[in-house]
Amino acid sequence: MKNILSNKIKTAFVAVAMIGATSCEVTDLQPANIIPDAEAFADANRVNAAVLGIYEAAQRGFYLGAVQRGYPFGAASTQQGDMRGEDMYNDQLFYEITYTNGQNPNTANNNGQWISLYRMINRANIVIENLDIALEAGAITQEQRDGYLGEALFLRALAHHELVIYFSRPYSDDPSAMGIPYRTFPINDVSRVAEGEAVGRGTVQGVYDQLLEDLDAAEGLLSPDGNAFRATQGAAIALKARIKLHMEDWNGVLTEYNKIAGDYAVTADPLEPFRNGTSSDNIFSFENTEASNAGVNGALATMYGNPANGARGLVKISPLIWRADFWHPEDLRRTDETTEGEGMVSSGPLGIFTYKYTDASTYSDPTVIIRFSEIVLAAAEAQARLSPTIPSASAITLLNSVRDRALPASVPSYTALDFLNTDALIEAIINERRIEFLAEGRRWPDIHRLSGEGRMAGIPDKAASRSVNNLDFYTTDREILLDHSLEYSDDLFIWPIPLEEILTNTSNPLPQNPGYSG
Amino acid sequence: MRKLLLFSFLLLFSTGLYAQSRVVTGKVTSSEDGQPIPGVGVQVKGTTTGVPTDLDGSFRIEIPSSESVLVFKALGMISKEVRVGNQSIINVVLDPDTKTLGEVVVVGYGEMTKREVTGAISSVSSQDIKDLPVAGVDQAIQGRAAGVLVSSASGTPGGAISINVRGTASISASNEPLYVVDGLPIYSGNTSSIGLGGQVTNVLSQINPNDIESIEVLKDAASAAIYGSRGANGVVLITTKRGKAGKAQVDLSIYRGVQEPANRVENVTGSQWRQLMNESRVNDGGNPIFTEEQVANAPNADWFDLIFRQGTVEDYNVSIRGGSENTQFFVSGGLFRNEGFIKGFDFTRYSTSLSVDHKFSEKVDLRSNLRIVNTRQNLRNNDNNIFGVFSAANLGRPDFEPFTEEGDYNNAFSTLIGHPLALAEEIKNELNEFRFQPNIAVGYKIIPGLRFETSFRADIIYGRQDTYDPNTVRSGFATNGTGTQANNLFTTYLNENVLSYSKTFGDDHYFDAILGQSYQRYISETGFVTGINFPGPDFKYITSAAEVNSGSSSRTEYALLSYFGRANYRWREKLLISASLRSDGSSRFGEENRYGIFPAGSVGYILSEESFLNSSEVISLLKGRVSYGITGNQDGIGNFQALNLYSAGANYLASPGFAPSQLPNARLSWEESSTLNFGVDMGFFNDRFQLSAEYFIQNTTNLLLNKPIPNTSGFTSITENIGSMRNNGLELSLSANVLNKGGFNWDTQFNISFIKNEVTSIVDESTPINSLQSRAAVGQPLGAFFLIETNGVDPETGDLRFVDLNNDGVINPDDRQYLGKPNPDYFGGFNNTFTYKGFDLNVFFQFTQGFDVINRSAQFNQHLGFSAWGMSEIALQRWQQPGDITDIPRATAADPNRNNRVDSDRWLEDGSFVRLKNLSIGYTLPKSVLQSMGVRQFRIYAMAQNLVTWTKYTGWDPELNSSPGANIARNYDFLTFPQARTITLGLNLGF
Repeated sequence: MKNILSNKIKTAFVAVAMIGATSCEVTDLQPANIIPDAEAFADANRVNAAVLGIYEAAQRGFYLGAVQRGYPFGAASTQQGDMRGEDMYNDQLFYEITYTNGQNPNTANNNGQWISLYRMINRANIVIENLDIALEAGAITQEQRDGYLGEALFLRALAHHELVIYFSRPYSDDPSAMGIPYRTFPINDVSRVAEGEAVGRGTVQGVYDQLLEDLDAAEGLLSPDGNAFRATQGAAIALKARIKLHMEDWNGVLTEYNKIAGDYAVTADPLEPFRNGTSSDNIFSFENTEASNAGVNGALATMYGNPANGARGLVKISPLIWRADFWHPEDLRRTDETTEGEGMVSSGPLGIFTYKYTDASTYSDPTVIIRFSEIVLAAAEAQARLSPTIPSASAITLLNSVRDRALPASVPSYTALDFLNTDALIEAIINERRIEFLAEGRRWPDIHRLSGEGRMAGIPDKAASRSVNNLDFYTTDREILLDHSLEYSDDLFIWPIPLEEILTNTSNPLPQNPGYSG
Repeated sequence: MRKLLLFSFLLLFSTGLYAQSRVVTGKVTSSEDGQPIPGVGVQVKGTTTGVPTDLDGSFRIEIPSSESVLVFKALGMISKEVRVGNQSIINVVLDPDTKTLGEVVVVGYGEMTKREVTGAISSVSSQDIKDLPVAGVDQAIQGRAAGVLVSSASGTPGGAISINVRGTASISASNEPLYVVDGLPIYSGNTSSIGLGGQVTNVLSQINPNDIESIEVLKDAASAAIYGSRGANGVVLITTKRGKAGKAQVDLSIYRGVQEPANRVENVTGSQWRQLMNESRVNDGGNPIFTEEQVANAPNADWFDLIFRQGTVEDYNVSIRGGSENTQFFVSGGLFRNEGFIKGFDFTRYSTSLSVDHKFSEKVDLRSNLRIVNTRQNLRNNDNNIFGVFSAANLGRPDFEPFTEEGDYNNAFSTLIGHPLALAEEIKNELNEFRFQPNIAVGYKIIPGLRFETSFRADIIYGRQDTYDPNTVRSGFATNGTGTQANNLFTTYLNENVLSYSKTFGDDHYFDAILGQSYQRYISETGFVTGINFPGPDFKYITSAAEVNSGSSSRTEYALLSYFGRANYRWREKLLISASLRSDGSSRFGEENRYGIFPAGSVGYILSEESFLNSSEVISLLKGRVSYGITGNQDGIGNFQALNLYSAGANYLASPGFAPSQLPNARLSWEESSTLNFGVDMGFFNDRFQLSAEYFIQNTTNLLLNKPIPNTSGFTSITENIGSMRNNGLELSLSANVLNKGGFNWDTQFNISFIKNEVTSIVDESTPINSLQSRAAVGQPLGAFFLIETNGVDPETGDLRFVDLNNDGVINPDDRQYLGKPNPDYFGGFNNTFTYKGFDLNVFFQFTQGFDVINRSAQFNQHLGFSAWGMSEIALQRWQQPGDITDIPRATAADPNRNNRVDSDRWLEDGSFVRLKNLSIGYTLPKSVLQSMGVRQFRIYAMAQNLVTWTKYTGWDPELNSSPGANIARNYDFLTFPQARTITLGLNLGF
């Protein structure tokens, strides 16, 4: 009797215990719409999707806590680069802080760029960390792994360079100045946050060293094939040329230029790089689509476009450059689409707008990042710099290859006789950059490096914010109210580290740039 | 029940020992309904001789002598002693025991008598909530359980109710208790997939209150810890009616009634509105907008009259219960319908419930039930939504005709909000839901005292929602009509296996225990499709849409695997010791914290059993108890929040891309509350007066909060278990049979609770968490209002005098201070039942005192020229000329002093109120009359709900919340659908 009883009891206990035996699996559910870490790199399609996720982070990131407005590269990089300079003019609140040097450690324009760039960098680092795991697991081939790794390294470098030219003093002044944290490992678990906090600012030299290391590696990994919307070998080389220009490594610039000179070409029509995005001049751009873009409050076409074309017209071409004597009145790059049907600018009663970007309804203009013309002019500048006493003939040839195509045959090409000395040639090359890359966000990087070397005194005078409200500022000699210039020595010349970044890093807070409180 | 069985066994074994004695027979019936009572213990006093009554209540017992006294004892009935004398047939009528201390109390995975309880549990019986004209049981328990604060978010039919058991214990997770219906933790969230403004649906209204036998609220950790990681907000156990052995009883109940707003706050007329607008312009040094003639002859639309109608409420319910010794059944069917007093809103419930219990043998038994409910609701945008019906009426300008001469909506688009009546009548939003709750449990008695039970339970809600906004209303105008069709399936499965054991050792030691395992899984599958561009307002389904422009589907789930046990020990009916433990494994927890352990223990001592008290005439019960335990709240963790996830949608080059959507946190775990509870239960004069007092301290730690992290990580914040909060309070419950004389009886129950809440830590003490004008700040109660103080209206200027807290000469957000709180100082209820002959009168007051409300509606409709909304009549009390003494500042459009600023205490009001919640009068026909008609019970009654409310609050109703579910920003009255006053007539008929 006793035996039977205890057996029954045993059976009962075993029954209760058995039902729970598979405990590990039952509480280990997997989500349906989202995939966990372990599966994200489980096959080639998914790895590709994760790589596309880096581009998406470049297109759209955080601004005021929400993903919007094309931070960092969906449009913001262009707008910030223009608004720190004097060649584009601000009419509205959106980038006024950038335009008037009103930034502080809490303002959204600079903080949005910071967080969005690091968000993009982190996505790149996550891909980088997982690629070899996916390769070992057989999910991707060696060739795929190399290509993806090259893309991720390129994008990581692009983002870090954007950071270092806004948040650090220029390399051309002092490579030992404070850099920005260069992130080479991902934060993909709460436990790694502390590890991330330990990465300090380092030096500008350190940042540039790592940039070159990343890009050299990318160059070796990437394929030369493909269009401008995903990173290619040419894109890595071109970015290196840009970076070496900032480092004043003139020979280096030429080395990089020579690598790709045969693969790309300046287009005969200066408008072409902005109309299909895949011309011989387009080396790298971020594609925007109707489904993924910077939106009405950020897209280049809406922010920069003529209200007559359905745009918001918040930023115009500055009357300062429009009236500058170095910009030839017959330059094709001044063609007005309102009178000519197609062109690169668009005029209206309030002033003159760029017409490089046209789609103000679905915001699908690509964000042009690097064109071959930039590398040609970088090479021209390098040649000129390397020949300090006599204006370099090959520099002049390179300059003409960009300039002549935009000018009528009646305007002669530059010759050595046009330049009193090398300085005058360099000046002409820089002015050509201002014209050619107007409304492409390239002005600030030039101000940054040229001020660092002492060629510029800082940010030049701009047309006062919200003061240009009539076309006659462009077409007559009506006085332009000037404001917002900034000495290079001014602390406001570079942006502050976001206060939130410093406060939330409890173990190793980043040192703030001088002059900013907090 | 278990005790009763045990007792019966003992009685059975002991019969037949006294062969010399004579036999007495008889029948035991209930005074309540005259029905026989089976299973009554009939015992010869002072001996162990006894028998139970059989199915028809009859018994046969041998007694030793005529001097013998028979004791009749049954659970829930008052025991009776009868001296045998020379009687040979003794028929006994037992009275139901209205004294709660003898009652059976349902606890997690079991039941016990109230006397044995050592935790803090509030019980509400079906009798207390009978016939209340409310959709859901949650409304019915308002004011009836100490420590349980029930508040309706609004008066919307079938709308959300919020229940806080002993305060709020979480900042980011739910503060609502766990609802367990017949052992199944049910889904209790919102099921409307389409945003309705602040309003959400209430799935508790899908349980027919008529089917409910009892409701228990487990308040302290010792009672709730058996529900582990879901017990921290308390547990509401709902037990439904089951069959009963005996002749089948049919009960029919019907009530019908009407509804109107419990209070009205009128808006100004068209003329007054124009005059106020003129005054604002003149005060600003400008010119009047309207000519004197335009003011005098202004049209006048009373939007409230247009959207209100006489609401109706009706309920028809029939139930049959009965059965044999081996098989019992309960079956019911009900129809409840509530047409709101605002046009467009209604709620209908069709419900059926079937329960069958069967005993196969002495060893094997089956308990089963199935509920099927269909609710159909017409919903409208409401509360905190500019397209809401009541919102539009509140904010609509009064100075135009509501209809054109052709009878069309006039000026349907002239204001920002739209035409109130069009919003009620043109928009379609139908939610049609089916809910199935099957429940099967099979028990097996292994040896006497040891039982195994396995149960399978499910809660399945299928909902289909159709909405259509035609181009005749603003919300559908831009798209030329928008229609959405949504389908939701929410499924909960539960399997539990429980061993239970009980044994008495010797005379003094009683022991029982359970040991169990539970597996629960919840799956939510949702989807919708939207179409736009319809041919006209009559085409309401997506088939007519020119463009099907949006659609999606998704799925999410969680699972829990738990082990639990509990042991109770009792010594000589004096000392009570209980301990329990639950281990919950949840798919929501991080890998490193997959299982949570939730222990609890309690001790009680019944002092009145001691020799120095047990013969006291005054004190019939004196019990002290202490409990301590740990409970959790896992609601704050998203279903897969602990994992490293990649979500799709990071598309580039028109190709699918994905990106990390969150940082994994393997340590993510539940919020944890530890509660210490002290209780005293006292009974006086044979329990005619009873008093219970509870004091508790609950410390909640590991609150889930978002902690900002350096942006260089690529993320902005992570969710971690960081914060903490404390609730402590005192609860008193008193019940008394005040008077029982000459057929007149007066019973009263009173309860009051004082609960104090304080946030004790957050991520960064110097950075309180803001939500609207409310805050989670250390040292303050959760949701404390942070505002600029005003010091009346300056009689000279008519502007508000803001208090410059920091004396810096400017009034700005730096001058804000803590000026109010959403949780009450105290709340409770006061219930009185009077009976005389067949008449009964019930008067029930409910009160909530010492809390504040932000009257956000007033900021809009007391604008005094600042905007173009309609205006409340309160605006007429404005300052007009120097020397005027008033609380309402001057009319101004420019408002240079910023009288209308959102962050001042001008909008903060004391919400304290006392309500005559329920008043009913009934008449029951005497048994003598009924018997001749073959009727068991016949009662008619009239009832009024929310008849009178005493409050200083100037808005429509102080009981509200325009965003239910919000933990910090609570008690904002933003255009909230007001509470209803309901008058019903009803009939209860029993055969």
